[in-house]
Amino acid sequence: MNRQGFAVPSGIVVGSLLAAWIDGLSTVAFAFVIVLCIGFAKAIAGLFPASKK
Amino acid sequence: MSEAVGVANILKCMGFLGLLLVSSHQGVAAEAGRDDAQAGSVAGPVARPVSERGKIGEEDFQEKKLPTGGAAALRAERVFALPGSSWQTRFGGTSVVVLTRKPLAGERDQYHAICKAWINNFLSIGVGRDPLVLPWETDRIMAVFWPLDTAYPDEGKLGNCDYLIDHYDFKVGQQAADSVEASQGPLLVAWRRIDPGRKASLSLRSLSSERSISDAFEVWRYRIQLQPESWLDTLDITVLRGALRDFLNRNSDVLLCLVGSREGRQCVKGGV
Repeated sequence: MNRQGFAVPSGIVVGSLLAAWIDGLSTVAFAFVIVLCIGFAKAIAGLFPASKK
Repeated sequence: MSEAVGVANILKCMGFLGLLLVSSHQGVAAEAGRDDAQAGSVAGPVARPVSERGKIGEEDFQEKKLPTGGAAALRAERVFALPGSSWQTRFGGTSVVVLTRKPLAGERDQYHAICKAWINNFLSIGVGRDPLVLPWETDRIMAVFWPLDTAYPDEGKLGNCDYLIDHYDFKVGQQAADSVEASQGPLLVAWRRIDPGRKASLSLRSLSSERSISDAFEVWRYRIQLQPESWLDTLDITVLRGALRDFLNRNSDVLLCLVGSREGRQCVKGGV
């Protein structure tokens, strides 16, 4: 699995942890946090392109 | 190799967030324990005739032990501030729930939540009408005031937040806001009688839900019971979390819609 492949699950995990910490979020807000974290993880993964072998 | 470093960095981030989560739950548990301990002694906003107040106060005095140790220097209690009374100088500490204007259409729920948090988070020591007979040392009390615009409020309605909002004394609120150079309310302001120039404040402007406002009052109660040297105007993590929660709950549908529209989806007004 490449870095982009890691971005979605790690975004979901980090987003879930963040939403749990904030606590009391509505379903829509929870979804937004997850989407935001996935996007953030993808952006970070995009900053470091895989090295060519 | 570099992939392994990237994975390690992600794991570090997750570990950090996990620690934050655990520490926040410990904080909530500690606050819940304190609430449980006080649940039995929380009284409603009882307005007592002056003649009866001493007697009831003596009974209360047996239950209400003033802080003798630890970090607490004062004990926070709630009182109504009535026009014409010397409420500002009677207690060791004074705190005011500051509202600076009559509620606009969308603000009434927020004011209502502030009123409920004030009632739920502090024990009542009655109406601040002169002379207020208290059997215990008032120097050890941080009185948290709700200013009223009438000297003779309807004592049967002092637990009714609609009544309290309608009869809030905005002149007092504006003066208190001016004293801490805050242009907008709602906020909480506190000072000690021995050092009225040194004031603490906590803005409630970004909080809208009942839970977030109640959490902020918990933080405020803890803070103002401490010595003024410990009054920090820095942003508290609990208040920050409440502000973030309310912001996301209020605006996530629009934000999610905007994110979705970048991917070619159609946003429907008022939903995703």
